[in-house]
Amino acid sequence: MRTLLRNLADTEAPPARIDIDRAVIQGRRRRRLRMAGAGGSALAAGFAVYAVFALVIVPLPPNATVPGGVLPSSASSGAPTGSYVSPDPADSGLALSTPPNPFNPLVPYASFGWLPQGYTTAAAGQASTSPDSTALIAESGSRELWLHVMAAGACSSSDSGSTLTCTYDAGDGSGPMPLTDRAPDVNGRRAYWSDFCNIIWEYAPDAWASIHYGCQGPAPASVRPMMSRVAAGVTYADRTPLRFPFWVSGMPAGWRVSATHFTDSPGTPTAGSMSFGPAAYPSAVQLSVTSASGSPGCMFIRSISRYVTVDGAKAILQAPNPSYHEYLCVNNVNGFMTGISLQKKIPGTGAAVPGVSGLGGAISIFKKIHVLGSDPAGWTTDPLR
Amino acid sequence: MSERRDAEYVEYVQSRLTWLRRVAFVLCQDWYSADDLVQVTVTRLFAHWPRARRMDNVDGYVRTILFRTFLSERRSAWGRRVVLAGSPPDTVAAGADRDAMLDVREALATVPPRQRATLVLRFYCDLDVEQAATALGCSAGTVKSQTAKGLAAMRRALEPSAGARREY
Repeated sequence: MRTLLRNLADTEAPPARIDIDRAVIQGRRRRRLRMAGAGGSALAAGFAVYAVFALVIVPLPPNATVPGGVLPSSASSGAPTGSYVSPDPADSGLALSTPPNPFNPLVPYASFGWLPQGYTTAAAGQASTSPDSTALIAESGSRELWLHVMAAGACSSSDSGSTLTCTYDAGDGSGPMPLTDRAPDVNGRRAYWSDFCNIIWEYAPDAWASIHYGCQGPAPASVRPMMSRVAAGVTYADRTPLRFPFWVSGMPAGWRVSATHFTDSPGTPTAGSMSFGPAAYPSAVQLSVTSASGSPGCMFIRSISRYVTVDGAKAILQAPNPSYHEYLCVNNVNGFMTGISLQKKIPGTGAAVPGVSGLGGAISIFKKIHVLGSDPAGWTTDPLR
Repeated sequence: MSERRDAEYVEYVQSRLTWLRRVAFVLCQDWYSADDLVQVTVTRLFAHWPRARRMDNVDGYVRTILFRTFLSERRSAWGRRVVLAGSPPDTVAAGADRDAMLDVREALATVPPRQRATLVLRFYCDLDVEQAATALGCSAGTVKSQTAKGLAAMRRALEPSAGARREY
C-alpha cells in the first residue's frame, strides 16, 4: 500500500492554482470571525429572571479585580451591578423559548449582559451571524471577550461525553474540545473550561455557547470569575433585525443571505457586509459596503491586481483565475467603500456555482448595489431582493 | 510585527506547497480538487497562524487541517465530486506502469472518504495509529478498523485487474 500510494503521488503535477494572497485576505476575515474552540450555550427552559441568575453564579470576593476594572463590592452580595450592557428592547426581558435552528442570519440571536468595567461592544463590523451561530465581541483596549452562541445541534459531544465538536470548527485543526475541567454551572447548566482560553456551557438542550478571552492555553485563574459572570449575563433571543446601508437587486432566484458582519451598537445593530448564494454554495458572494472615512482604502497586490474604472469610480480588480474567482474593491462612491468577492466554482468539486454564469462578474454585481446613504434611519432590513 | 508574521506564513506555505498538493492529490484523485482543498487549508492556516507558528509540529497541524477539511467537505452537499468535462488529463510520471497507476486510482476512488483518509495518513504520510487518530479526531480503535476496512476495499477493487494482468 505504501508503495502504491507513493507511486500514485508521483503523477506529474500541473501548475499550482493556489492563491496565497487570497488565502491571506480570506484568512484575515476568518480570523476576525473565529475564536479558538467551540462553544454553544443554551439557557434552560426554566430560566426565570436575568437578575436572579446573576446572583447564583460564582460568588465573587469583595473587591475582586479583573482586567478592565474592579468588580463592585456589591457583587458578593448578589445584587446585579456593574457594567450591564442594555439588552436589546426586542428581547422582551429574557423570556426564553427553544433556540431556533438554524439561526436567521439577518437577526442576531444573543446579547452580552454584564461586562467588566471598560468593555464595550461597538467594535465596528466585528460581530457576525450565520445559520450556526451568532458571534459578538466586547473590547477594552487590547483585551477582547468573544461570545459565540451556537444553534442547537451545531455541536455534538463524543459517545463518552468527554469531548465536544462543533460543525463550524471542522477542518481548522483545533479539534474536539475536551469536556473534563468543570467550571461553575452557568445559570444551572453544565460548563467547562477548555484549553483554548474559553469557558463553554450548554445554554439549552444540545445548544452551546462560549466566551473566549484571547489568551493561549487555559484561561488564567484570575480571569475565570469574570468569564463566568459574563457567561451568566448573556441573553438569548432574536434581536432587532440588522439594518444595511445597501440592498442588492437582480440576483438569481433562490439565492439567500447566509452570513453577515455587523456592528453591535446598542439597540440598532447595523450590518456592513453579508455573504449570499445558492444552497449549493451559500457564500458564493461576499459583499461589504462600509464607510470610506478613515479606511486605508483598497489593497493593491502587485502580482494579481489591476486598476479598473467602474461607473467613473477607481477600483481594483483581482482575478488571477477569472473562471474561478474575482475580487473587486471600489474605493469611494458616495462615501462608501465596496468590496465584492465572487466565487464562480465550488471548492472541492470544480462545479460551477448554480446561477453564477448569468451574473456577469463582480463588476456587474457592483452595478446592482443600491446604496442608501449615511443615515441608518434610511437603511433596510431586506438587503437581498 | 504583523507584517513579519505574515511574511513567515507566506514563506512557510510556499515551502510546503508541493508536499500539500501531493497529499491532497492522493486524497482527491484529481489536481483540480486537490488545489481547491489546499487553498481552503492554507486559508484556514492563516486564520490560526499566530497560534500555529508557535507549535512544535506545524506540519502536523497543517496536515490535520487538510484531512479534516477533506472529510468535512465530503460530508456536505457540495462535497460530491464532479468530474469536469474537458479538464486536462493527469500525466503519470515517466517509467511508471500507467495501467497499474490508473487501477490504483480507480480502486482508491471507490474507498469511502474516511477509510481513504486513514489509508493515506497511515501509508503515505507514515503516521502511526495514535498520530492518525489525532489528525482525524477519532479513537485509535476507529483508526484500526478504518485501516482494515480500507485495505480490504482496496484488495477487492484491485484483485480483478491484478488477475487480468497476469493473463498477459
